[in-house]
Parts: sequence; C-alpha cells; structure tokens
Amino acid sequence: MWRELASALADTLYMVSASTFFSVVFGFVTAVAMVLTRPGGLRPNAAAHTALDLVVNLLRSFPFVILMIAIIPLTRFLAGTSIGSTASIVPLTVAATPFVARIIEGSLLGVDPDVIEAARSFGARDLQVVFGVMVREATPSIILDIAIVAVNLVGYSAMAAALGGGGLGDLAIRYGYNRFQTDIMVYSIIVLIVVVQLIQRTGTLLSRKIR
Amino acid sequence: MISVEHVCRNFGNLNALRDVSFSVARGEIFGIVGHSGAGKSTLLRCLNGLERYGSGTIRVMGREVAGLGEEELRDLRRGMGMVFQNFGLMERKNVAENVAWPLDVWKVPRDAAERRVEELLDIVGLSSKRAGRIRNLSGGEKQRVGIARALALSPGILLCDEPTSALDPATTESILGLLGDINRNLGVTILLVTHQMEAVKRICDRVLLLDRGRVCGCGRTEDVFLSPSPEMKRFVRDDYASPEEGVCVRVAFPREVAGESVVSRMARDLAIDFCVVGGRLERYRDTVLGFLIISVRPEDLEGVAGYLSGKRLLWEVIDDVA
Ligand SMILES: Nc1ncnc2c1ncn2[C@@H]1O[C@H](COP(=O)(O)OP(=O)(O)OP(=O)(O)O)[C@@H](O)[C@H]1O
Ligand SMILES: [Mg+2]
Repeated sequence: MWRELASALADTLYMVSASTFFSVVFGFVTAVAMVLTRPGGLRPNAAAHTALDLVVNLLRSFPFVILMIAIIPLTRFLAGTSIGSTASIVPLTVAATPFVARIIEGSLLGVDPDVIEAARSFGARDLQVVFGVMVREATPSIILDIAIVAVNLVGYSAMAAALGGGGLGDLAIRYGYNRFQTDIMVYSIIVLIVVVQLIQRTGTLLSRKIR
Repeated sequence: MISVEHVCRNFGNLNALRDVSFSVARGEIFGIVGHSGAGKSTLLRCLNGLERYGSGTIRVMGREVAGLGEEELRDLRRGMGMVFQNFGLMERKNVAENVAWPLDVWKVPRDAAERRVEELLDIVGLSSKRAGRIRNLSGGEKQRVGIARALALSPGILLCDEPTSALDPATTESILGLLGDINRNLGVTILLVTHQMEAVKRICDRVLLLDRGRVCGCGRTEDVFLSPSPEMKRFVRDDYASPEEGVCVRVAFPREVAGESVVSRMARDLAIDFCVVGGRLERYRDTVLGFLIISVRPEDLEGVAGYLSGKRLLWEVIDDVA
C-alpha cells in the first residue's frame, strides 16, 4: 500500500508540476500580450486584444471533463497517446493556461500606473517597461498566482484520472470509492491535503520574502 | 525653452485642452493651476510626449514634440525629468536603486552611476537612507527620492505633476523649498502643476490658470494674485471669507508697511468705523505681503477708495460675498 501511495504521489507531483510549468509559460505570454494591446496599453491594438480576450473566456467556460475529451486528438498528437499521466498534462495545461493568463493579467494591471509612467518619462523602452517595471513589480503577486494555479491543478489532476492519468486522486477513487478500501482513500486524501498546504505555504512565503 | 501654441486635445467629445498657448523661459519656475479635471496633467504629459495632442504645436528645446520618432522622443525625455503626485517609485528597489534607475536604462557605467547617485542623494538630503526600503519612507522622503530620480540624467527641465498634493503642509513647504533650490542652484527650468495656491505663491515666477481645458489667465504670480481677473477671483473665492453686511475691501501691503496702523490712521482721518474681517501674510517667493480685509459702511466706500489709492496701496472690493 505504501508503495502504491508513493508512486501515486510521484505521479501527482509530475502532472501538477509539468502542467503548472507549461500553463504558466503560455499564460504569462498571453497575459503580457493582453496587457500590451489593451486600450491605453503600451501598444494598443483593439483587434488583437478582443481576439485574445475572447479565446481566454471561451476556453475558461469549458467544463474540464468535456475539454479533456474534446482535445483528445491534440493530446494524442502531442503525447503520442491519450491515456496516462504524461498524456493528461496536455488537457491540464490547456485548461489552466487561460486561467493563468487572466490572473497574471490582473497582477500586471495592479502595478502602480505612476511607476510605468515614470519609466516612460525618462526614456525607458517598451520592453524595459514591461519586464523591468511591470513584471518586476508584479513578481510577488505572480508567485501567489502560480501557487493558486498549482493548487487548482492538484484538484484537476484527480479528474484526469478519468482518462487514465495516475496520481493520488486516481488512487482515492479506484481503491477507496470503487473497492471500499477506506484506509487508502483516507491516506491519499491526507497526502493531497499536505501537498496543497505545502504548495500554498511555499508560495506565500516566497512572495512575502521578495516583496 | 518651451513654447506651446494653440494646442487642443480631445478625448472623444471631451475637450481636455482647448487652444492652449503659453511659453516658458529658461530658468523659470512656471506654475500651472486649475481645478481637478482642468487638463493640467494632460497638458504636462503632452510636453514630453507621454500624451499626444490633436492640433497646435509644442516646441521643447527647439524640437517639435509631435514630429519626433521613437528614439528622438527618448532623447527628448532624457532632457526632461518628471515628478509625480504618488511618487511612482519601485517598491521592490531600495532608495539608491530607484535613483539609479534612469541611469540603468541609459546604460551609464556603474562607477559613474554610483557617483551620480551619491550626488543626487546629497542634493535631496537622503544620503543616510540610501539602502532604505521605499515602503519605510515618509511621504516627503518618497518625494525626495522621486525628485532625485527625475534629476538623475541632469535634465534641463523638470515637470512636476502635483508633487506636494499628497503631503502635509510642513512637508509641502520643505519640498517646495527643495524645488526652489534646484531651480536656483542647478538652473533647472521647473513646470509645477498644482491646485494649491500656496505652492504657486511660494515659488512660481509665472503662473498659467487653466479652466476646463482653456487658458483663463497667465502672467507674473504677483500680478495674477494681486489684481486677479474675475476667473481668478472665482478660483480663490473660498480663500477669503466675507461677512454679511458692509462692503469688504481687501488691501495688500508690502512687507515694510504695517497694515493695521495704515487702516486705523485712515479711520481716524476719515472719521469712519470699520471692522477687520481677516488678514494674513502671504509669501510671494522671497517677499512677504500682508493682506487685510476690512468691512466698511457702503456710504464710506468712496472715501476709503480715494484714501487707499492716495497711499498707492493695492486694494479691491470683494463683492462676490460667498
Ligand atoms: N486617457 C484619457 N481618456 C479619456 N479621458 C481622459 C484621459 N485622460 C484624461 N482625460 C480627461 O481629460 C480631462 C482632464 O484630465 P487631466 O488629468 O488632465 O486633469 P487634471 O487637471 O490633471 O486633474 P487633476 O487635478 O484631478 O489631476 C478629465 O476630464 C479627464 O477625465
Ligand atoms: Mg492631474
């Protein structure tokens, strides 16, 4: 049982960290693009902004289970298979990316407009403003965003079990729910609680440390 | 140094600036006052190209701002520092790093930049806090950092957008003093946007009055305040409270004349009664002027007017009793 628990934990950590990584990368890029192109942004572009905004809202309105099934062809193309932990990273990433884009956008917009104005007033280039000011000032808040995403992905990864992804959620469902082995279910849930706590604590501490 | 001609700026159908013209000479401290929403910030931001303008021309140090390409605009901004109401400092950098920021952007070599930062911290009196965190500073100290940063690239012009509006009176006074010193010692031309009349009187050589995007007064500070136009009077109405009855006369005295004795001598000479409604001292840069507001009976007004004019004193009847 312990061995099963350990390998399930490893699976969960693998899925969560990989999908967090990819969704943060893609979501961050999307967020920067949205902030740049929004009306009053550094490079206003109504068409691009509306399109991005629409796609983000659209993807966010899909229930995860349906999204997972809908993108099976994409999953198969990218991962070579549509089942297993590695395969479930694809739908997890697709589901989390628009969410990440939205919350990082919020963090970037939270940066004091006077600071941005100040940078421009002494001749900073747009790139210097985006990375040297907006991203830099928003970093503590972006770290909190990432913790939120990772915690959400822990929950989503349990749902990915429906597609044959492994992990703690899968363990809890297979043994605890289907086979009435309550102890395994309880243990997997305890481990899940600990994982979530650790992610959130780390995020909070890190964010506070670099403020 | 700066000349603005017939500048307009619309946001949709809101006319933020309407046919604004003025010019600023090298070495001046030039005030821009107006109520909230008058277009002061918009005007200031047009000067360094942070805001575009629809029509008219703005020439800064000989260059037409609207005609500048991206790199030329950066170059122009290098020569114009800007100071903000809410400071606009990077919370995640310390004091010295904030001051060094423009030097970083312009890739000034490290040792030259360090020397410059020390100089600047010395000018604004913050040398002892060079490693301090921004969030631990008082408002006045934050603004000093903001000013040091604005001076980092040795600009010829300093644009200040309500630099003292978030500060208490004593701190305001010290920041204005600092701006005055910078103007005098470094020869920096200063544009000061504010809605605080005291700030204008304290340091501005000339002042522009902006009302809903339109210029409604421009001239030497003394002239604008001592013989105010109707717009100006409306602007400062609540500065001078008036009593219910009688005619109120506001008399200005140069520093060396004691107002009370002049007025009481007048009362004796003309054999009239009067009462003092208010009075105060106001600083106009380096001179102090006294104001006395007295209330006289309407039938005595003519005599009073003649007497005061005979003494060559500036006076006016305050008629719009608020
Ligand atoms: N980017 C913008 N889009 C639309 N309207 C704007 C924009 N910037 C300014 N305005 C409008 O232009 C007018 C002038 O604004 P501005 O900020 O210049 O006023 P201000 O005199 O600086 O006021 P305050 O004392 O409150 O700072 C206001 O009515 C404001 O709402
Ligand atoms: Mg303003």
